[in-house]
Amino acid sequence: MLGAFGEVLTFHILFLIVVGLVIGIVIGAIPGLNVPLAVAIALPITFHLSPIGGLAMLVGIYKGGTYGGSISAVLINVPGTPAAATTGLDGAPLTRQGKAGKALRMSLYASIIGEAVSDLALILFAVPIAILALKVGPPEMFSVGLFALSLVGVLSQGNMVKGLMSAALGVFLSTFGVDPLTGDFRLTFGFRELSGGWSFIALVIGVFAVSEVLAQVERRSARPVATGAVRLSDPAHRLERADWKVSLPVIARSSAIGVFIGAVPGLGAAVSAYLNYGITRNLSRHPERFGKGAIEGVAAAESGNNAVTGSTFIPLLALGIPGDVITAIMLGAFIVHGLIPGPALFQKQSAFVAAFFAMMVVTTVLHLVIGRVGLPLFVQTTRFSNKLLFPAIMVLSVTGVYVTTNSYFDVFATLGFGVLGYGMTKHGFPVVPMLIGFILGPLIEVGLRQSLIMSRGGLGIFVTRPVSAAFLAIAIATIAVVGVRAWRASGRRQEGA
Amino acid sequence: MTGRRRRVAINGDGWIAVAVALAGGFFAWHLASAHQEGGYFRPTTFPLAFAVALVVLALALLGWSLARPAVPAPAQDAPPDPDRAGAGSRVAATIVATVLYVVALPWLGYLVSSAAYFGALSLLFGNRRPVSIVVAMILVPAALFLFFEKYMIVLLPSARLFG
Repeated sequence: MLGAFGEVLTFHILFLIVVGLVIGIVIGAIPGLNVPLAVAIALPITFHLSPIGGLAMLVGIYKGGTYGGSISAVLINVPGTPAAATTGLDGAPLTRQGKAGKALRMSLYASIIGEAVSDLALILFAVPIAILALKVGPPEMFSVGLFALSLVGVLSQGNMVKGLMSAALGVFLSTFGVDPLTGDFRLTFGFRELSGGWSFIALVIGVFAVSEVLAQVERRSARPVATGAVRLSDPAHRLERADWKVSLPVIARSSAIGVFIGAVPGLGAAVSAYLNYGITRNLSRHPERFGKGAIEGVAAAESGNNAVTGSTFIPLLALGIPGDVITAIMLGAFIVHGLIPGPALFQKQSAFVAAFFAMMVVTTVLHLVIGRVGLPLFVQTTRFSNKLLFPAIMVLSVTGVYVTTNSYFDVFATLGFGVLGYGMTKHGFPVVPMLIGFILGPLIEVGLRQSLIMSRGGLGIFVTRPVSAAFLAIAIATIAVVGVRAWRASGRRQEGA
Repeated sequence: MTGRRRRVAINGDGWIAVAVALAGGFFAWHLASAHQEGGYFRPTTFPLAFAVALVVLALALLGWSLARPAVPAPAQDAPPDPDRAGAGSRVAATIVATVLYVVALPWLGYLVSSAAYFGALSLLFGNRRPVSIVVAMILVPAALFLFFEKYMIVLLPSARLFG
């Protein structure tokens, strides 16, 4: 392993990691651009580099971009990545309270700790965890998906029914286009552009960027997002012992959960961030602080989403199954260099595997350095005026969708989703459950249909398998308990009025 | 019997619930009327289930809003915010400007249409400094053009109108 570090600690590899991290953080921080887009565009460049050098740059973009999404989420409440939406729930209120630096610092440190734990898990448990994840069959995937959706409902601010409606709408939107098992078209209404379903990029940019611009133009605040220069040396921006005291246990738990979620193909950073945020809020003695600037909310979301960045490589390296869309793109870089991920990789290319593990650790260390050194520069973006910042975000959003999809239909769809998101937010419907539903929809559907094929149409398979039954029971209990509590709370509010 | 009867009225949430239930009902009808073959599960069954779920949840929201209507916030004596004046019109104008921008992109090209769109949005956001608007109208589209076309090698729309 020490020899592997020697191979990575060269100027060439370190330079590529730094370039990847800077590109990743910048791309992740810009609403409308996303990490898969950056990794996909960088992929052909890496073909001309050494295998470990090319992958070092891609891993830098991956790790930097996963963290970078939190910067715009904290500063302007527009998440640069879907996973960062949860960071903004408490990060943006902290910025409004003049504590942007505190949220950004916690975001960085929680991300780094999450990454370090994930790297360690990759190195120590690659094979055992991958085998465990492989044992999760279709019934369990279906039940875990429904369980995640029920948590989304629980997480919703305000009325739980609205949260569940938003999640159901997200799942419904995910069913447009080609049927994943038979290839039949459904809900296309004669539009060729809908044959592939709604564009994920259009949905994300629409409900997060465009709807935010519409909300901002409605308010037309003459003030900048944050007044005056943000000085990180000011006491309000520093993390205090009390912040660490509430956040460290949260980071430890969220990192562990994030590692597991990353190792299960199909879940990924957004699910991890949302699950961890929900668990942390539900376990908190002061859940009412969440959504109003709870520092442990930022810690849970960021450690959760960055803790998948190492463990998504566990199924990829050990089994050849990508953990998420980014590792799926990276699979191309492996194959071009003659490296076929799977159990044989550990036997035939053990030196490469060791160098890959060392590179993951070095990237995390450099991420801390780049993120810490660049933080004062990132904070200065809060001085931008709304009058210039939001028009620029809108132009960038339209440009980002166009360069990703090359389709005017998807650009119009972005505007449609923006209006939908604006209307939903205005009437108290949370938009994040819709996004999570959209991500989980295919997972739930495929899990359900494959399970029914396995059981020859019998629904009993979901309750006779213990893991599946446990997740379903927890999902039902969660909805029932939170629903009854919400009903009683609304009754008390009426009596008090 | 001395209890007074409570007047039941549909409020804002209730009307939204009715609209969602109608939309969900339309999609459910569309999916149920589609004739597709399948084994244990037709391709339309899963979306149909979630269309029905939307209807059920919308009816639950309607029932909730009727049984437990939202308590109105106490009236504020604060003076009206001048920034709120014409808020709805600005939102509508932003949507129209975006539609015109996307329509204009293939005809006027990326640089011209983006500059005009940026200027229009900046005015809608209340920017009244001409120099600031003009400088940003040039810089923002130019920077994005250079980044995407020259650095990332991604083609942006060219001006069909100018050949």
